[in-house]
Amino acid sequence: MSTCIVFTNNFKRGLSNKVTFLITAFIPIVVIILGICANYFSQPSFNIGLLNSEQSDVSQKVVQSLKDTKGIQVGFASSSTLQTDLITGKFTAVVDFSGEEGHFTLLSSKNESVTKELEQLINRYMADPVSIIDINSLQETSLGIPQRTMAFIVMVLMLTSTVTASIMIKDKNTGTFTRFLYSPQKVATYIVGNILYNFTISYIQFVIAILMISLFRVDIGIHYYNLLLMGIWVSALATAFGTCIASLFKKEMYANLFSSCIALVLSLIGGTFVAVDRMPTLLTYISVISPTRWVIEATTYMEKGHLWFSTPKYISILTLFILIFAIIAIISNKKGARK
Amino acid sequence: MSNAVLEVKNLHKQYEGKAVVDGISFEINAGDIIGFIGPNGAGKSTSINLISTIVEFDQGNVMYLGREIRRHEKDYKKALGIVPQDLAIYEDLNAYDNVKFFCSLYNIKGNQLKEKVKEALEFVGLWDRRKELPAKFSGGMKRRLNIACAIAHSPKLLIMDEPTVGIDPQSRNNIMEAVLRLNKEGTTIIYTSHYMEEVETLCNRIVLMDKGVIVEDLDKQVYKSKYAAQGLHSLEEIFLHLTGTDLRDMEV
Amino acid sequence: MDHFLPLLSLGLKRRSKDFFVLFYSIVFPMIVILLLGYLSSKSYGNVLSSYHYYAIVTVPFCSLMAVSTVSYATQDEKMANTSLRFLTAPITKVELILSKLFSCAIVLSLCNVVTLGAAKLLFQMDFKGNFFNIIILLTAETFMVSGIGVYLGLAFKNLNAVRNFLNLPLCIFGFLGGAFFPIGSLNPIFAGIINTSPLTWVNRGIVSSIYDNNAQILWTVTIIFVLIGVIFTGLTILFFKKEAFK
Repeated sequence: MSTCIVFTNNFKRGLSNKVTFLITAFIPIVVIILGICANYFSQPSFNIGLLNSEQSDVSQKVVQSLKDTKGIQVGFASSSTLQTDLITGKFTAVVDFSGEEGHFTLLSSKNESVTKELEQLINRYMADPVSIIDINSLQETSLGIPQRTMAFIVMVLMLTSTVTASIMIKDKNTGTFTRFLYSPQKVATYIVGNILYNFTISYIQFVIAILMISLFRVDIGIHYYNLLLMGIWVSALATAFGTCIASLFKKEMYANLFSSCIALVLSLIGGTFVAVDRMPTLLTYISVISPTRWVIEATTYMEKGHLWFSTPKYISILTLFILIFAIIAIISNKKGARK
Repeated sequence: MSNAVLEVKNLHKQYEGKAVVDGISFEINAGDIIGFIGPNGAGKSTSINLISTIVEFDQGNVMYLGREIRRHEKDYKKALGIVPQDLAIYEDLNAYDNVKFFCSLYNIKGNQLKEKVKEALEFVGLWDRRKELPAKFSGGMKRRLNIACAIAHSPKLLIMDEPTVGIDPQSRNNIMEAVLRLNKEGTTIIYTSHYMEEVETLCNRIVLMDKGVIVEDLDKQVYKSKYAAQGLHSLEEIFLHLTGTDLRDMEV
Repeated sequence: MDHFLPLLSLGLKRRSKDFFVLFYSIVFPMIVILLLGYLSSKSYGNVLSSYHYYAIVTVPFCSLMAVSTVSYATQDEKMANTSLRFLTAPITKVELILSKLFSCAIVLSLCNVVTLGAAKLLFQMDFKGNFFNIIILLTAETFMVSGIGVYLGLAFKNLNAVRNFLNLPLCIFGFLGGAFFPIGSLNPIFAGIINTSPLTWVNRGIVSSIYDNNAQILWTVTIIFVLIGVIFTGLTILFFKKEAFK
């Protein structure tokens, strides 16, 4: 009952600044767009640059074959910005056909296997420019839209829930937390009330994100019912994280900056940008401490048609993370209360 | 049988090996307004924190109505109200919602809650401004709201920590009148202030603390007559006589 | 400008003693470089290693993220309740603003030097004689970031609402600029979107100066950043609000 009082009170306080409240609620729209864009950019594809605009007949046919190949884009490269274009990702590789007929030079900043695959591809097109090759088999697996979008949602919810949880830091600094302590209520009541409020905001954001996905007609291969259930755990995770961070710091600035550091690192090791199966072995072991990894795995699991409750594995793991963050928050607040 | 509402017995508190509260004992009877005074760094704030259970004492005991407050903390807190020295109000909630929230923490609900909020705001003269945010209030009004938040749940024991700091004489007078009214309605009050004339006007007894110990604990009539013979007539004169005129550069 | 130096000195002391600022500007970038470098170490070839790439892109990204830190730094006095003393002293707003700007810019620039220097040593990076030029570019970026941060802190009306979400557009800029992985597109629309990020130009400037021996983008971007920093400083002086500082 007292928890509801704290919960309702926080809502009143949040709504007192309607503009900020609305921005908070609709941030997921940006996240979804970001996730879709990120996935577009990281889709298996090659941008191939041509160094010499004058092509022989053979090389013209090869270039045409490359253009016709799904997943390959061809453009003209400049020798003055060659390395820059390769390193910054404008081109995966640059081909120079200006040598002897039937010979070419391929430059790439990628690893040896990618370079070799591209060389083989061009050689095959030189031998037979008509048969267009499916390059999917040449490419390593990457995160799909659902996984990347969910990973981004988790990261952003962690950041926004820390901002929401900073209300506790504000209360400590203004003395209203101390006033709360004068009352017969326990510290846990205050924390749980704040957590419930934070969770509600996070879940609203998650639901809006799902609505955006459906509005953009992004096919993520997971039933919305499953997503909404998963959203409960994701929101609880983000809330517990935000509350934990806010409990550890005395200043809002430190909480917000630290949360962005931690959220980013957890996202990185969790596989948001480089899939776990493409990571070095040591990092795959370290990634178990990142909740993002488990959210991504759970998304992959559900994408295969499973229901959220069909296995206790991901529910248990995410619940464990939630409990760990919550316990740290409670202990930290109790220590602060004693001081 | 003791008439004491609150009994403080041999309370000790140390910070980093230094005794900040060094064995203080006193009793507060029902209906008292105790002036809890002392120079800066005397240990008054720490004592209040110990009595209000915010800080745990190292040794000693505090009894409320004969029961240890540590064992019956919840019941004790229901009867306790604190007006902190620093304003403790939500700037983003209006006056009504501020009082309502803090009152509801004492398990007061429904119509009773509404009535108590109204009473508290009327008591401090802010009922007409209840829908406004504290940002629009003057310093005196904020102090009154600070008081309203503390008294809404009708505490039996009220601790007021320098409630009139930084406000104009009109607001101060208003608060002092409110203190007397509360006391008439049955609230026992512990009042700390550096304004000796306030303490002299309001309090029927003074407890003077210095360097972690209680220096004097006397009823008003008694201390007046005791020190009059020494030519000390005002409380301020008595205060300076007992604590000295040296500056107190105490570490906090 | 009699009071500028004492104010600058105070600002420098406060910034350089702020453990968190130092952590965020030196330790955190190093962690990200090591992490991302290790994560993608298999994907890079002989031109440059993953560590080299992430050293180049992470330092500018973390510099950009310092907008938040600077906006908080400008409100130091508000938090410490000493702002009234500043406002009632014979200090001009120009002195106050410039002291905030330069104290943040200097400390953050030094952090960049330390981070980049550490990366150079740790990963045996060869800047091909462009180290100093890159430091100038990063200093210009820090100047711009400080200008924007000071503007937000001292002249912007609803800073609290903005500050809570500031990290998001900055992360988007970082993503578009290739801070997380190299990003490029031959599609004109997406290429245009990528080019909206200042980090795209910073990174291109650094890479082209090292690997293509072409410092044109570097110097162009440096000048643009300085101009933006000057503009925001001017706006701050114009729109300085005592309420924001009090």
